Amino acid sequence: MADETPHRAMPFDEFVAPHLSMLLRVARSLTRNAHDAEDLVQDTLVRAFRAQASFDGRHPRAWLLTILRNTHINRNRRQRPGLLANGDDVTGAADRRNAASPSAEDAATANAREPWVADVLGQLSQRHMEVVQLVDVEGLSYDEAAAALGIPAGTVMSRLHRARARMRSRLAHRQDVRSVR
Amino acid sequence: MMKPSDVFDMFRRKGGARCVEVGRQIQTYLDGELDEAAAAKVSSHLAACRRCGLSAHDYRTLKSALADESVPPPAGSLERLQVFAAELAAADGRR
Repeated sequence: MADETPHRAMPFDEFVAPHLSMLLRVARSLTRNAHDAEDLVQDTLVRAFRAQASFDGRHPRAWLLTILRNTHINRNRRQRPGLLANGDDVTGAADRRNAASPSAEDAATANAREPWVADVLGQLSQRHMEVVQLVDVEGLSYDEAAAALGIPAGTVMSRLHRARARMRSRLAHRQDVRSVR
Repeated sequence: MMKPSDVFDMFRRKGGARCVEVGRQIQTYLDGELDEAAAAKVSSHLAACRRCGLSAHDYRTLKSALADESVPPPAGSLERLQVFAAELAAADGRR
C-alpha cells in the first residue's frame, strides 16, 4: 500500500522546519538556558530522525514534543545520574540542576513587558508557571503541553485554570491594571 | 461580596446556559479547546450575561498580555538547527 503520510513524502528537514521555533521556545522553557535549549533541540532532531519510520504522521507537534521531553529527561540523567530518583519529575530535577541559575520565575518575569505580568507570574508555583508558560506564552494546545510535560491533558487544564484564576484574583487588587478589574 | 440576588442569578439560564456551567468552561472556550456545540452555548451565554462577559474579558486580557511575553529564539539558533536538520536528511539520502 502506498504511504500517504506527508512526513514521509518530504525530506526530514522540510518536515521539521515549521516546528523548530516552537521546539526551541519549549526547550528554553525546560532548560531555562538558550545554549542548553539549542543542544536539546539538536538531540531531539537526531532522535526524531531515527524514529521517523515508526511515526504515524498524526500530530507532529505533539510527537516532537514527546521526543523533546524524553530527550530532556535523558540528558538530565546523563549529566547528573543521581538526579532523577524514582518518582521524581523532570521539572524538579531541572530546578535542582539550575539551582545556581535564575529561577523560572526570575527568568519569566525579568523581561516582562507589563509590570503587572511580572507580578502575577511571580506569584505562581513552578507547576502552575510551566503550564502558563507553555499554553499562554508559547501558544501550545493542552495536548501539546501535556506531551511536553509528560502529564495528562486534564492535568494541564486544571493547573492552567487554577493558575489563571489566581492571576486574575491578584490583578483585581492592582490599581495599575485598567483592563482587568 | 455577592448578594443573594447574584447567587440566584447565577442559576438562571441566559443564552441557553447557566453561569455556573459556563464559569467552568470559560477558560477552555477561550483556549479553543471546546467542541463546536459547547462553544456555541458558551458564546451565546457570554453575549447575554454581563458578569460572565466581564469574566471572559479578564481572561482574554490576561491571555493576550501573556502571549506578548513570548521571546523569539536567539539570533542564529534557528538557522543552525535548520542546517543541522538538512544535514541529517542529506546523510540519510547518501546511505
